[in-house]
Amino acid sequence: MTNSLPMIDVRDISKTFRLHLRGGAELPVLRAASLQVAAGECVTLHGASGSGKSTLLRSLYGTYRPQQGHVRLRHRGEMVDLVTALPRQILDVRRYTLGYVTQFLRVVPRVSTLDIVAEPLMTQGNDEAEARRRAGELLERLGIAGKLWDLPPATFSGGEQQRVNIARVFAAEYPILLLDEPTASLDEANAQTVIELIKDARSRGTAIVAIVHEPVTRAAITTRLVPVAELGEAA
Amino acid sequence: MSVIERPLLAVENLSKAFGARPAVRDVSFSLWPGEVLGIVGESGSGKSTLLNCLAGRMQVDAGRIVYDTAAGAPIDLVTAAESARRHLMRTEWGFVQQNPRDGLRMDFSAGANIGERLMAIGDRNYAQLRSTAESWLSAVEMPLRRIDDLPRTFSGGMQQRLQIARNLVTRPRLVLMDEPTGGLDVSVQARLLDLIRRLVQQFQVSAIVVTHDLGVARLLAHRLMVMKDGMVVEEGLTDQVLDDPQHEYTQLLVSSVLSA
Amino acid sequence: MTALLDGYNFAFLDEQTKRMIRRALLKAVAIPGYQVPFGSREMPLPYGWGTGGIQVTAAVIGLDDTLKVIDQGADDTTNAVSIRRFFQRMTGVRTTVKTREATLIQTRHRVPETPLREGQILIYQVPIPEPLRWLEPRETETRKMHALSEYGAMHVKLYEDISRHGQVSTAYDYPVLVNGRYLMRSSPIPKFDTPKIHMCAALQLFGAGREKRIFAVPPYTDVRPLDFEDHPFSVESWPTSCALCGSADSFLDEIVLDDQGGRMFVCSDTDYCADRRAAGHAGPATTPAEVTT
Repeated sequence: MTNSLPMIDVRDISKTFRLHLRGGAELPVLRAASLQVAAGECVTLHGASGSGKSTLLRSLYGTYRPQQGHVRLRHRGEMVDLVTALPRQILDVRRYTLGYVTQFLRVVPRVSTLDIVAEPLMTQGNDEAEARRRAGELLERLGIAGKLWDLPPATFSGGEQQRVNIARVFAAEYPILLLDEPTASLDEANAQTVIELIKDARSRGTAIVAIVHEPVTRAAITTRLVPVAELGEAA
Repeated sequence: MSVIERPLLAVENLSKAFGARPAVRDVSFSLWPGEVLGIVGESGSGKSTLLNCLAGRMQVDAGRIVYDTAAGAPIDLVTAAESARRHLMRTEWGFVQQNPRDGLRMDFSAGANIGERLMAIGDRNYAQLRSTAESWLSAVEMPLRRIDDLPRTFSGGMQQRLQIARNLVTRPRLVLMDEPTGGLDVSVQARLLDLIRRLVQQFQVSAIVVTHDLGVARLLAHRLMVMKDGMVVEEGLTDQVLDDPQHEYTQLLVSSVLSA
Repeated sequence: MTALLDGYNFAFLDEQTKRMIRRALLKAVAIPGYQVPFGSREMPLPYGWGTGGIQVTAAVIGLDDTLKVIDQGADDTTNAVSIRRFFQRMTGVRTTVKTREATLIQTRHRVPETPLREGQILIYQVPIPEPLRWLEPRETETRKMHALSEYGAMHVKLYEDISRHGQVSTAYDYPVLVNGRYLMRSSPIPKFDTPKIHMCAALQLFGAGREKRIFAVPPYTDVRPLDFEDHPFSVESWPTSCALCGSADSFLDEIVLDDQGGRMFVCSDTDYCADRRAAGHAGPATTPAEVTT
């Protein structure tokens, strides 16, 4: 199941937030942190609130720009360093390689649920019919009734929105997935579906980094539990 | 990247002053095909002046604006012949004004407004102009029966949608937008933003959007430049700038909105 | 016959002014359709009465010229009579109502029906010379549009006509492209006359006194009206022929005869109509001999 192809190679990254509005106060969060993840692995980050789990995940997505170190991801057969990549290279990595399930769905006004889920597939160049078919499959599997597909998810419940979010990212079958509490607001049945989706992804060779508090999901998906505090020098 | 590309627009060391007061100071950036660049900052930060310089509405004091034409020949718009520059503005570029009254012919029908750029580049078939106008009306979600109505009978949101149709009708490669949702009600704004977002994707246009609204920037732009006192103080992917602002001024901007 | 008035220079204007206008005319002829600015003088008539045309006529008229002046095609209306008398008193040249006999024809709002020949000069009185004015109020910008041949938006107005009325309703002052280069207003002549400007054997000069512009169409110049492929340019037609001379191919004026809806159509060009009648042509109204206009 696990092969050794390195997908994520984080080397010695440091991230300090400088808060200009609070007199330039410095908030060091990561210091010389390193992490390697291979294809088919699911690494779950562990640590107290404020230990840097989210900072690491956002650095992996390219949203946070570490002051030092490298965040290399396997993209189109090469390791691309997000720390030095050009913005449009990062966008290309996100389009084809890197999926991120955030805690909350960022709702785009008026866009239907089906289109939201199909969008990443379409930006990858799939034709519209195929993208919608796969989007429908995922929504069905996650228990979003067909009658809701034409509606924008703005008025959906938290759990429904989260399932739309998950469908959107899993439909595109990215080789690298970042998951931030993917099952937090789901009932047991839906959580079970997400666990299956994650397992399916792993068996395809997807490298996964997750933040999961909920013990059942964590136990079900994790291949390696990594305490963030031990990734580098103590911050 | 697998495809070798050139930037659609390369701005180098652009400066513009009004008398002794500098409005744009030594600004450089590149815009890539298909990219939407947001320029954010407060009033007086120089963002609108920069946009007007790019569009040739203001003369620049120094710098280069190199545009890669559809014909594949990059030209410096600062030194290019005015005829060439104006031709590009009518064909390969679009400009969506904050106030639709500045971007529309208010005394001419919606259909004539949409058809003008086509007529300007030589379309001489009335029936075709008419059907093109109809298809653009529906693309911007306006009822076809309004085709012969004057823009002044439209709501602000409809006027703005008409202005967008009028600009996109020649399938421009680059559209400049100056506060496109400014002055509109929030619900109307949302619809317009969604429309712009969809059309930009559908027609693969590159765009430069000037806005003071970080929510608009978040929704439309791939990349952001933050301007203050005529200078670019920070740039990066939209989520980088908004979620991890580095510059003091950007942190102030981001912290000043409820949610962006 | 009006006597020559003493104490005035020949043709009213001083020789320096005439030279200045001739220089402007030469430039206008050299660049067909291009509006040449000139130093328009105060004339002893109000603006709108043909001061531009009069200055052009004054600058080109010579002792051996024969002058004809028409207003809306007629030689006998107030404006035509006044201008003709003005030049009689200021030059003493021969005047005529006959298109064929004239060497100079000053006109307001019409081109004579009788085809013009080489050697004749047709001088138009022009109120508003700038065809782009309705589109763009700034003179600097309209000049730039001319310089760069940016005329596409002119079709917007024609488009609007068709969408409102089903056809181009611009009935006079129809926009034309001169020699494939400059856009020109055809002074306010009816569009019926527009084709007559095209490849005309005579020299055509245009003078706008208030707006201080002179432009020209030299003999045998290509002059095309703007139109759409599927709505080609066409001229007016009438349900009947001239009641007096029976002409079916001249521009007709409608004359209301009574308050019972009685009306008839007669040639706008009085000389043309008279010529035809003299040659034995007759229209429906002349047979019962009710009308003796």
